[in-house]
Amino acid sequence: MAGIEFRNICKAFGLVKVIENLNLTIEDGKFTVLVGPSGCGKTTLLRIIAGIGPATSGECLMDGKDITDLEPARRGIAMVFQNYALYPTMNVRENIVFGLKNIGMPREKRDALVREYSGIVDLLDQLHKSPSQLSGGQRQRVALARAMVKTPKVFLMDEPLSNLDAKLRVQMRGELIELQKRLGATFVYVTHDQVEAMSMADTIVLMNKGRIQQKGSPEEIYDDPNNVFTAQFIGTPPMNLLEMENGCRLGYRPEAIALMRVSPGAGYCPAGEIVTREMLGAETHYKVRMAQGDVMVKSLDKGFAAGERVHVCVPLERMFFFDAQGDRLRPGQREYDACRRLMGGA
Amino acid sequence: MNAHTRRRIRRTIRRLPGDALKLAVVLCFVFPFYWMICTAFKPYSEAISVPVTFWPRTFSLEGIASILSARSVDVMQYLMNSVVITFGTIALQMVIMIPAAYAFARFEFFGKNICFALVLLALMIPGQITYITVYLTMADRNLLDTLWPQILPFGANAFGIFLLRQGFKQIPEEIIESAQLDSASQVQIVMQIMVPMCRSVLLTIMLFSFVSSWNNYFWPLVMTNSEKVRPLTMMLVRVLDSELGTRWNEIMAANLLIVLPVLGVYVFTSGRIIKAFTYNGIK
Amino acid sequence: MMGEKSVRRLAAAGAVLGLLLMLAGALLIKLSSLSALPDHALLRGVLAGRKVILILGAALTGASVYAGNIAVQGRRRLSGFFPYLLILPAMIFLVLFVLYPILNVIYMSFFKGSVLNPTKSFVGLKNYMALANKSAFIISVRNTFFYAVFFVSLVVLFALLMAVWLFDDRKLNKFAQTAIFTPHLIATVSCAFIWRWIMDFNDYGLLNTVLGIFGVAPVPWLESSKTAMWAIIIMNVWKNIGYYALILIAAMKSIPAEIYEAAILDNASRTKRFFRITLPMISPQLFVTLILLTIGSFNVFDSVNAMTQGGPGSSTEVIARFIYLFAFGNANSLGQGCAAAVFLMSIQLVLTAAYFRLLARRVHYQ
Repeated sequence: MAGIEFRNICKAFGLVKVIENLNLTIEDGKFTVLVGPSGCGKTTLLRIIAGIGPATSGECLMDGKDITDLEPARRGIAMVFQNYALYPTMNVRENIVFGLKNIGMPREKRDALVREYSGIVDLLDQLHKSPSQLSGGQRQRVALARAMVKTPKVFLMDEPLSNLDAKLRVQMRGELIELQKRLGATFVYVTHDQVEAMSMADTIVLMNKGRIQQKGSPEEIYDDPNNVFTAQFIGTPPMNLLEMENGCRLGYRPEAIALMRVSPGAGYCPAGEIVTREMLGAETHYKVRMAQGDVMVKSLDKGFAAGERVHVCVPLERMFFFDAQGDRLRPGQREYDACRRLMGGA
Repeated sequence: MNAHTRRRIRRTIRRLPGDALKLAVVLCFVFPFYWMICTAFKPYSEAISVPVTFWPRTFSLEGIASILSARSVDVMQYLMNSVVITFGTIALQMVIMIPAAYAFARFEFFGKNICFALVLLALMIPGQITYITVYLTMADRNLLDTLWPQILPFGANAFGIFLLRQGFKQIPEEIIESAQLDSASQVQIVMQIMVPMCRSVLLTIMLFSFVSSWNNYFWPLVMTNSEKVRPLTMMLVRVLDSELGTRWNEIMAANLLIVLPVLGVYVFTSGRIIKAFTYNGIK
Repeated sequence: MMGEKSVRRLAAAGAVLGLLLMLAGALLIKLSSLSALPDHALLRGVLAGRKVILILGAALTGASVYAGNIAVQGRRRLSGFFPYLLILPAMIFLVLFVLYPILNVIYMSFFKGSVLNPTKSFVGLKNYMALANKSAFIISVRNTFFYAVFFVSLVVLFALLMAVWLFDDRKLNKFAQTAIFTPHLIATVSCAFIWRWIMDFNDYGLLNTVLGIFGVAPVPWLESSKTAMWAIIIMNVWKNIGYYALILIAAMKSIPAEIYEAAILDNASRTKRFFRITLPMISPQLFVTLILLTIGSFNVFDSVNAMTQGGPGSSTEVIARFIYLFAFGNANSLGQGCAAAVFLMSIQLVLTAAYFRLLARRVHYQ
């Protein structure tokens, strides 16, 4: 159990600056997810914690201690790689036990740990097999067991589920959450999949181009985004964004829209025509073309057809305003009132 | 970043002793060549003088002139032989190797594995054993006075067939199928599509073939009786024998003639090989 | 009719039988040209039918291949017999210049003969027994083994060291890799002459001069029977390290970096990482390297011929030189030369089999 702190971290590969002056605190004992598009720096940050890709400058602290120059093996961390990085020439047992042997742990203690943790991941009867004989899911569990057996303070995971098929991925998601609760250790999990982030995280750290866009719980990120990037990265279909005058931008989520055939008169209800209809079973997605632009609607009503004229109604409390730079405007800010007034009689 | 540069400087200093040792080792490896070149440009008197000079006190073309003047050795004849043998061998190998590699890579036929095993076996059988029979066969057909005994036996380049087969195998099926749909004949498919796609492999094979053929000593030694069909590698021994006392500067000059073409070809092709590699990668 | 698999097996049996018959027929044809043959009724009968046997064998092989090919191709008879046409030139050359020579050398080893008349008289195993008693041969075998053992171990050891040392992607390493590879491009004879010049025992010999700077007494190198073989070993090791180091570096580059990172996190020291990850993962290439080096080392000839001609005394006589001197030497010794060649081949075969037996278990294929 250890909290991690980044101070003024910079990372450059040659002349290319990937991360510049990043500061971040990762809470101890929580499941923190670093999420963002490819190249945003999340894996780089993970490797800085691990020590296998040190920062160009800045400090990294664990539990208050400066680990910036500390050897990777002495940091009390374990890592699960995207491609598992199992040792191909050793069998499962040897893979798991390798790290323990290297620190000179006595045999009985090693065997007990192997039994315990391979039991947890249900690999007890696979111990003699070599990695090439295992399925993707099994290999992933070996990687997990290898990490757990070191009883680390911090677990680092680099997109561990991305190589599994969809069904297995969903199953493993639940298992990893349970695991974290059970072990109580700090999990730092990297993914590009926002669904994984939302479902697994205690804290989400959303990154883009080496900068932190927002840090918060899934609810905060979803209900109270700090900027356009956050608003549109999380949520499928992404939040609708419309340009207004004065450089204001109006945003509302697809599920916040109520489609009406007749305008109720008051409130925000611009007219439009349904361009496409995707009926997905429980919900239906419509694309509506309005004078101000196209919006996606997520509705429980499958009664509308393509070509129909409808009104796109959104209550005020579910609207978000952003300025021209993409930052969120909140009630109390002068610009917020200015944009709000553009809504007219709403 | 001050800390960044500090770390880099620290790293360079840490590496210094290791790097110095590396350079020393490299020097040991390369020095014999330097010594060869150095000796080649010394006059005989300086070459055998004591103490040893690491740089020619008198820069002299004595050795080279002596070699080229065809006093006791006809350099041009040896050179011509080497060139004809080497390029003849490469050409023959291309003709034999490309169809064979194509067959092994993209066809199924009875006995394919046995035949391929024969190819691999050939890789391991040395000339020191096969030459006896080949010599007798060549002698029977009165070919010993020609360059054929030095070209024909190397026609089937097992190493080349092996590598080219691998190269052909890596070409995606779809490309060949679409060529077939375009009514391309087998010959067109191989020569206009597959071979160009394996440029880097072919260049590598040709390079190895060139080196192997140009540097061959044992085979010309046992296969030839007359000097007029012997290649450059056999010239060295003649230079040694011809004078009173070994004129090392002449021998090293002769070595230059043998060594420089190979180095030239290597420099030329390795650049091309890398370029061919990157070309394939883009597609 | 019959299942495809059984047709193939039948065809394979037929082809093997056919080839054996062809071999027998060819052998009989060769025997029939011999001058002195024992007068045996059975032998005369068999010899009379030699051409028939050959043609029978060829027909059997042809038919088996035909049937086998149809079975293999199955319903998709797109290529038919075209592939055979493609490999025909290669096969002809291989049979003519590799397979036939080997068989012929084995054949001639049972005769006493010379260049003009290779199979003058049949002597059975006498050639082999003569070799066993010939000191020149025994010495060459001993020297060759001496050379092989040290050559292979030194090259493997130093190539591995170099591969590890020059592995990282740095300009210095790239330069060093090219530098140590260059000797491979140079003809062995050229290298031999260069080193002969360097190892010259006169005062202008470079090596002794350099050693003198470090306070080492001059070494007789090629002049003394104690050191001559070592000189040849040194020269050949120098020539080959670079080539094999590059092969090993290529093998090491195929190991994913992640595995090393996982090992670093697992507290594995550099030596541990080398022995438990690097070495096992390059073991296939290392295995092939070992075999090629071993087989090649027994063929050593060029360097010996150029540097010492077997001397001083016979301290550097090797098997390949023995074959060279005896095969076309003056006194009817072709048979013994061939016997020595067969012996050389057998050593290489036995050693390769031994490698497979002993080491195949420890090679990790992926």
